[in-house]
Amino acid sequence: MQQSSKAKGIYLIYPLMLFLIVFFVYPLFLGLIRSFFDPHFTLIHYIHFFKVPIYVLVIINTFKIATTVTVFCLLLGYPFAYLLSSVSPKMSNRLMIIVLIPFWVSLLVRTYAWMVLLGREGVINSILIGLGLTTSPIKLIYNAIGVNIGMVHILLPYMILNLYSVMKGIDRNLLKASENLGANRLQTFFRVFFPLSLPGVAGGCLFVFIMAIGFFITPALLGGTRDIMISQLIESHVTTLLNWGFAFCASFILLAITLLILLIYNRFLGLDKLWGGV
Amino acid sequence: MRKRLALMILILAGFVFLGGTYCMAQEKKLVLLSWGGVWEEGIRKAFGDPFEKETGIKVLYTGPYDLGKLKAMVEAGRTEWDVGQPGMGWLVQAEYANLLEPIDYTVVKKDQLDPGSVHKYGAGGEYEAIAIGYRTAKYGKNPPKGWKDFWDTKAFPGPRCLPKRPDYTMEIALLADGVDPAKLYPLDIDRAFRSLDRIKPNVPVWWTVGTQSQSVLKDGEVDMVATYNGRIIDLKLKGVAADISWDQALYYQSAWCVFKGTPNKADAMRFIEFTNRPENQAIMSKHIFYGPTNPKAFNYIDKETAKFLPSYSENFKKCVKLDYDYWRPNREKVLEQMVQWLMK
Repeated sequence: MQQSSKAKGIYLIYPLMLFLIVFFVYPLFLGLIRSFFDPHFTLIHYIHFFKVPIYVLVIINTFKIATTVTVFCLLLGYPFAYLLSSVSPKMSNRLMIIVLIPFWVSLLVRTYAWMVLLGREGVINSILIGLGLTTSPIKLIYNAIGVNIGMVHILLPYMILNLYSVMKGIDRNLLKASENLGANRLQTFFRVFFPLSLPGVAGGCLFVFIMAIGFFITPALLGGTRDIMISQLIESHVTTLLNWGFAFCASFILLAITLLILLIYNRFLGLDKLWGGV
Repeated sequence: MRKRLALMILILAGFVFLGGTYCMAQEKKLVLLSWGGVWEEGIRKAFGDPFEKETGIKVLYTGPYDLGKLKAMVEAGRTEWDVGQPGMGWLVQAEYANLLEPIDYTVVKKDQLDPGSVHKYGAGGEYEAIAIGYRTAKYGKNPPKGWKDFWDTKAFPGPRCLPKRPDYTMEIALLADGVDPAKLYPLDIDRAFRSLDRIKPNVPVWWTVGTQSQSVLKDGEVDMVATYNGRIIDLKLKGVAADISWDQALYYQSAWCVFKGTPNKADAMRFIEFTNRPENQAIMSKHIFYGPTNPKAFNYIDKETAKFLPSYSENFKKCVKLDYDYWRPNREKVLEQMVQWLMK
């Protein structure tokens, strides 16, 4: 009985798979070929990528920025997700809207809004100077601060949703039991709740990290000259320099690193946790 | 019965649709790759609408400019764009990658154009210049004149903004360092980077798109910016306290070109010939403040507007020409060096 219901449903997935294969896997495959055959077999792009120091430097920089953004998302997202999962369903629906509204605003509009807020003569600096808290404007944009604020703002909802889906499934009776057995609130949190929420933490971090390393517009507009991410370099090779062989090479190196991260994650934590929740 | 009726209606609709598409396809059209906004308005008034009236060919506007997309179209053999007017940098890259058709000079009359604006793959168009835009509140009484002043943080203190691209910025750095404009090319890149080292602490932001260069000046993020003359004048006319300084402005041509593989090549050439007529160029320049490449167009432009144009004699003699023959083979290498320098 189980067998047949599984087999019935499976056909529904074929159209999607076909779509993905034609419009995603096949072009990716063509790109991979192009990075090695331009037009004859050559490793010149891969050699260039590792020989010219800038590309490895930028990849390392990309990972650095993605890491800080992930950590901030976690620190900010965890308490909010905890709140979301603890209040009544009516309240949590209302709070959920706060998390979801940013999704409905264009990424570009949000990034430009940050430029108005964080600028030298922007809203925040005007308030600080007006209140007398500082005499000269603080540099909040075109540096790591600007990039982190912008990227965390955009990626935070993903972290919160991941954490929430796991936290929702944690049995609150366990917490009550722990307190009954004599543990105080802090101990209950660290020894019961937090370990149970770890799959959400790992899933959220993975999700946010992988999205962060592909970011393009936000670091381009809010970042300083030291905040260059690999996608910006790939973009200039595709649209300005028209060196597609190299652009595909850089893209595939990035893809390979991402797959490696996923493999390691799967080895220790299991990818099925990502979409399984608990 | 119902099913038969529905099927017949569907087939009929199909024929109507196909018939309509066929009729549309017969109507002559020309696809112009547009920069949008104020530029497109100017093109419509100056060239698009009059051309349509004279020849009956409908001009369609599309965008944005995307070199990668052009390459994809040409490689697939399905070029959808007919004619465009990119800046020299873009045009040279496209030429290098074999994405353009040579201009047909039997149709496009080159004798009415400024000889400097006639090339194998590009003709006419407009002259644009990268000049200094500055805040009048800060430097109104004693404005900066030329790139040496842009570099002089003692006489002109305050943050600046430079373009985040190798072309324009390398030339600016060398001129600021005192290089004779006549001896600018080939560019001494090492010297340019040493010069840029001196100004780097005063450049908090590097602009990537034109609108960004305007907003950093308008919002007071910087006190001086090196950007397109049209953009600076646009701010000034909108009431922002900014003005332009023409000394040593870098000028380049934004030339009309025809994209490779287009089915409407002959009409595209006719269009380009049309755009080189002086009275039409005058209309365009009055709209967008980029200089005409047909010197006779100045007969049709009033003195007030002429002052905003790079090819106006008084401004033109202060300008330095950007040479894209240098950039064609060197762009990738210098771009990589620049990214590395920016990251230090």
